[in-house]
Amino acid sequence: MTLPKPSPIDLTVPGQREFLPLVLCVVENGTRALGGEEQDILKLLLAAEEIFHHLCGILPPETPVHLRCASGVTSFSVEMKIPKADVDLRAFNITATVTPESEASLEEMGLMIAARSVDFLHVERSDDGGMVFRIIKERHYPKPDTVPELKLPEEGEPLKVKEAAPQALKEFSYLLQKHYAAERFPEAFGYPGKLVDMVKSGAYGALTIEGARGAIGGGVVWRILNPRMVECFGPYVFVDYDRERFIRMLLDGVIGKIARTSVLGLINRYNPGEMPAGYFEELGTVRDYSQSPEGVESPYFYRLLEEDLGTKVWVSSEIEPFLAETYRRLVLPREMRVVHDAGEHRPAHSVISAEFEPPQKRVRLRPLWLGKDMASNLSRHVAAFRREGIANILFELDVGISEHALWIPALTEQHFSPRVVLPYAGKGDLVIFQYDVPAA
Amino acid sequence: MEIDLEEKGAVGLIRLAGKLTAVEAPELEREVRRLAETDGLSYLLIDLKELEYISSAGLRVLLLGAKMMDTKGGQVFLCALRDNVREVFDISGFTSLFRMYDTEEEARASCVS
Repeated sequence: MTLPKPSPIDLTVPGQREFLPLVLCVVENGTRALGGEEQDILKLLLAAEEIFHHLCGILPPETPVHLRCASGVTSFSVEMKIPKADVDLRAFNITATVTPESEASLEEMGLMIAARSVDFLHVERSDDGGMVFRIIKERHYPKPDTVPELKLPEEGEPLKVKEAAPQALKEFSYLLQKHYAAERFPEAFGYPGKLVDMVKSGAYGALTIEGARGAIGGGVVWRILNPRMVECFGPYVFVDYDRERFIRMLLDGVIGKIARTSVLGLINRYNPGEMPAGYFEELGTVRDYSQSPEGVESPYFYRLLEEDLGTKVWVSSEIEPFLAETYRRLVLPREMRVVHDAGEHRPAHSVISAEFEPPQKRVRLRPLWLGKDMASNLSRHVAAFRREGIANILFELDVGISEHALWIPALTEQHFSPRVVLPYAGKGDLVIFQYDVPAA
Repeated sequence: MEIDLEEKGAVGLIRLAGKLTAVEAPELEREVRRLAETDGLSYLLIDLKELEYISSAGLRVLLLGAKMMDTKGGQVFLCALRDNVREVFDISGFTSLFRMYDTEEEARASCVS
């Protein structure tokens, strides 16, 4: 059963500090009414206060600020939308610091606090040229202290692939943690309650393979990335017999489910390295440096389910040969349009978002805002992550968004190489760049 | 937000309760300025035990107090920070700017020693 989504709460106020108490009241009570817990509410409140307060200092007084509080099944969000404005967002970068002696630096401290007090921060250009700030706080779920002992199906027992019921999903989560290294699955799958809610939300689906007495022998999870693409995780098998057969049963199950929709294809980034032949094409590999300095190639897979009629992608000349070769190899019809920097106005400071995946010693960077300092900003981020011992630094670029192509010269200058193309994984294809440690 | 004030000799005590947002910050700033400008007051002790929330506007008032006290050779001590309040100090880099104590008693003991 898919859970109903509560209606969002909307408010429009002038961007003036006199309206801050009203904004705070709506965010606090709205998030509470949507089911938020106190600690989560306070973090969203903090980020919302800081962003609204900062905007009030730079927007003309009558500028409307549209506020929306919403609840997803596993998260809460607050969105602020403003008309076109010149806002310096550099403090949103994770590398930003505060200099207490500098008044200008203190002015930016609020944005820095906003970015770091929530789980995700997105800044987007709206269709009418305005700006949308979206802050997201994930609900808190308990992590099991101990993984209970669970029986596995016995060899010879008849096994069936089933849609995962809540209790089966919880057991799947426990078994996943027992039988697979943490880097083999998304961190959220290690929280049984969260996994149940993710599937209940309808954004995720899951199949388990069950014995006659209900013991779980394996499973596969998928999520709808967008109307054209589904991402599949696994399959994971917990028994040590007939593994390939069970992997095939789970893959047939998930493909059968998705084939009934209008989705174009299926990608797979998290797999335990036992993918049988004939199901997927290899999109490419990223190098996993978490285990050794030389790194290990980690493949990404793809399966086309419907005819791909093609699309256009925005690129710059630095990666044109890589993309041409990749699209030819994968037989993906794409029209490549080269984007040139024509000296158009650009803000002084760029913004990059960073999503950490501690089990994989990995950070995923995404462009939030263009600026003149893209190369130096990337360089600061790389230096900070290397100091923290983060082995794998990836940068996801959406070549369906023309502005993103303007990041490419900065990426190649800063030793990022294109590794994999994920078809339709964003507004268009996502190109995954990886930071290569320059030879000494 | 509630602000409770106490002055005893060289020690000025501010107890904060509730939420310190940009709305309440000006009121706190007035009290901090007044205490920091009081002759003979060498320590400003701020008890945050009942403070549920602080934003950058509140941090800036505390920084102002620290700067004013420093100018006259005094000090600001903070005590009894809740985890979420402490987190705001941590992410802004303000933790290293203040001497912090677990309890008001510990902070008081440092004032006299």
